[in-house]
Amino acid sequence: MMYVRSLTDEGDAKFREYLKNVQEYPRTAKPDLNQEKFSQDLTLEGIDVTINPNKQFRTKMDMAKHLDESFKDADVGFNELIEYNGLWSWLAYVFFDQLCPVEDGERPLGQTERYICEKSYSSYSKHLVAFPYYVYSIHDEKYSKPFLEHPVDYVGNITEQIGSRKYIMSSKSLVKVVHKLYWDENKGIKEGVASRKGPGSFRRFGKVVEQLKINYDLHGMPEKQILNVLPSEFDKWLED
Amino acid sequence: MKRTINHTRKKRIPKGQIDIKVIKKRERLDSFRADIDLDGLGLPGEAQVYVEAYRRFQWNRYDFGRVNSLGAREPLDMGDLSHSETVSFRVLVKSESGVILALAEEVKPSEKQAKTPLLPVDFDNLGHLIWDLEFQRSDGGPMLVLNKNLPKTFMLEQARFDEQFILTVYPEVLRQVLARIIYGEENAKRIDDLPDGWQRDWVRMATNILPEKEPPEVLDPSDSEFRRGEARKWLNDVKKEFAQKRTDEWRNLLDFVERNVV
Repeated sequence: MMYVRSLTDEGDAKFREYLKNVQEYPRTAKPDLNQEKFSQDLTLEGIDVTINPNKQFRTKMDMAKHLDESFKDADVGFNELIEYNGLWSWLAYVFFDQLCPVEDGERPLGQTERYICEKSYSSYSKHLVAFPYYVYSIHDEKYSKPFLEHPVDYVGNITEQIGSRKYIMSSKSLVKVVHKLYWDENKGIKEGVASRKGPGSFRRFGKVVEQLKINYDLHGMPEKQILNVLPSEFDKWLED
Repeated sequence: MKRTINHTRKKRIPKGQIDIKVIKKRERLDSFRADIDLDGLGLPGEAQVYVEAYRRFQWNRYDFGRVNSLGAREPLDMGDLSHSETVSFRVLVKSESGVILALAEEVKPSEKQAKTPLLPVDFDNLGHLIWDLEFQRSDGGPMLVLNKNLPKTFMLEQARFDEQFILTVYPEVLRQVLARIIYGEENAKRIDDLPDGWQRDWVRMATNILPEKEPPEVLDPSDSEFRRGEARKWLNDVKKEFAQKRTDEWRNLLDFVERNVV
């Protein structure tokens, strides 16, 4: 077990440099970012959370649960962690071999935002550690499933099309609607919902919500009321 | 001339009709006050009013009742947003069916922060203590700390309305705060030198409670003119008089004891 840390500006730059190198040379050794100049000891800030750096996660849900338990054990809430982008970047550094595994001698590195936590919400939603924890801590495990029942290194269509929309993700009712429309307890994400042009798809859901929120207070509406104002193109997902 | 057409018939609430002040405690956002004037917008009286505080992707919503009975319906504490440095607000009026009738977005709190209450309340882990008094505010002023392990709403209700709490806790709080003003090492040496702020406010309140007795003139125990006995007596008299004036609470407490204690 080890105490969590937060990357300093210098640590952030070093991690970025490593990400650049590792793309070209997948076996590049990870720098030691636990040194004082690269990361800050958060116990000094009252965040004395320990994590297991060797823990292997099957899914994003497993990772979010582990972090949630660790934070709760230390009596630290989401609101206290939200400003610590450096913490999320440090966690991505610790679990990097899982977030970006070497496959057939190559590391299929994603966008930097997946590992380095940025300030804007759209970037935050791409982060492979911060976003799963955010979703899990706000929405129940049940409703987080469409976003988190995936391998830890995977950024799915649903995260890109829906997770990246702050208005939707900060509403429990809207996330419940997403779960109802697109999640099957036995099969996972329903087939066909990720279609690029199809009616009622993830992409359409994001766009339709953007339009509806101009006239409707979707944040204040229960799930059933939202389903009633959605256009009929979404009905087919309710029939399954 | 550029013309815009409002297809939605949604009304814009002028920002000049909204005044929001954020209150800070221990350098953190604690709560806010909102004065909202919806007159002249032609909104139905039964329409629901909400204020939302938000930052980044945190979002809190507060029920402000209806257009014809406007007012906060719940404590306006910042909750999860308390760790933020700044927040923005949104004021929303909607119909029962969820249609937005009027809106003001990106409302910034007034520059000037709201005056801190005389005795702000905070919650902390106090072990088996129910309450405590702390002087950890940025201005050194007092704060009533309630045990966070007890239900928050219940404790706030107790602190506001419960006769036993009022008659047990507040006289002692008053005595401790005044004692701090008299004996505190960093304080003014004489009553006339008290700075504007919590010390002067509390002494003013004590003088209102017990107008017939002046507070001690010299506040420095190391000063040869300091009258220890006089200061102690004044503290006890103010405390007693504070309780003495709570006649209604006292009667209610007696009724309660009569009804419930064998």
